[in-house]
Amino acid sequence: MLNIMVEHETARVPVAVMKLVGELDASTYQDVIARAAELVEQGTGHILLDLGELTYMGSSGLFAIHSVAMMLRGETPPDPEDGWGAIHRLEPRGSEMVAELKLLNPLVQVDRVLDRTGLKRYFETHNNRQTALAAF
Amino acid sequence: MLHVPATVNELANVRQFIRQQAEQAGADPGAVPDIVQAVDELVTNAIVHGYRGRRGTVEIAVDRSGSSLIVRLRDQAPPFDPTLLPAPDTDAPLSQRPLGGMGVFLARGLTDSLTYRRTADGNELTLIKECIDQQGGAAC
Repeated sequence: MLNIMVEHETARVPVAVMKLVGELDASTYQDVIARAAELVEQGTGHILLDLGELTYMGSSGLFAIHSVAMMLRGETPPDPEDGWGAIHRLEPRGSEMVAELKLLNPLVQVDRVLDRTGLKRYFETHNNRQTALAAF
Repeated sequence: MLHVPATVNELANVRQFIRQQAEQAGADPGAVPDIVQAVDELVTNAIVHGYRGRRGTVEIAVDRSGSSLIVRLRDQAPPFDPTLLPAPDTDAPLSQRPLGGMGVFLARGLTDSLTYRRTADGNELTLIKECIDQQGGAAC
């Protein structure tokens, strides 16, 4: 079960705060992609992903985060069947972090998945919402 | 033992089952999330990449032996041995890592042993996590 809540904030740029509550796995990751796609279609260019109440994330969640990043860059999200190959496509712009998407308050299990798979280095991670918003 | 239909909608039930079984077996509380994630990733793999939308079931059995928690996953999907996927070099740039197997990579890193056996009608994966202290304390 995953609930997705969205709030719109204005920092230096407009930021949509997507809060994920529950568990992100192969049964729910497409909900995240679909919600982010709606936001992008409505003009959202920056998303703060609030993970403070996300109690579980499987590898499917990595695809969701990765897909959101690609959509914010105006690119087509990857096919989950691509495995690591999908993540390779984040790299053409070099090793810099993804500026359009930042993470807030990941719990230990989620943070570990991001870290173990090497995805964490592409996203700024913050523990304070205001600091995170100010970083956009 | 738990039998579930091969659908991702059962994953939350699978995680709950493994969590309860691991706790009842006396697994170190710190290791339970590792076991839960490893099983979730491998069951997801069987459902998404093994059955590929076809009807079927996944069977999950939990046992203990000494300090080991043992989880066996059985399915009737086409033969596939995920343990043959090359282990990625996590120090290498992402672009130099092998394709596929992200869930399997996670599962291998979270368990002490992952072995595959082809059965008469499908696949069997055995996960072992050394996480039970027979003296009453934590072993891992």
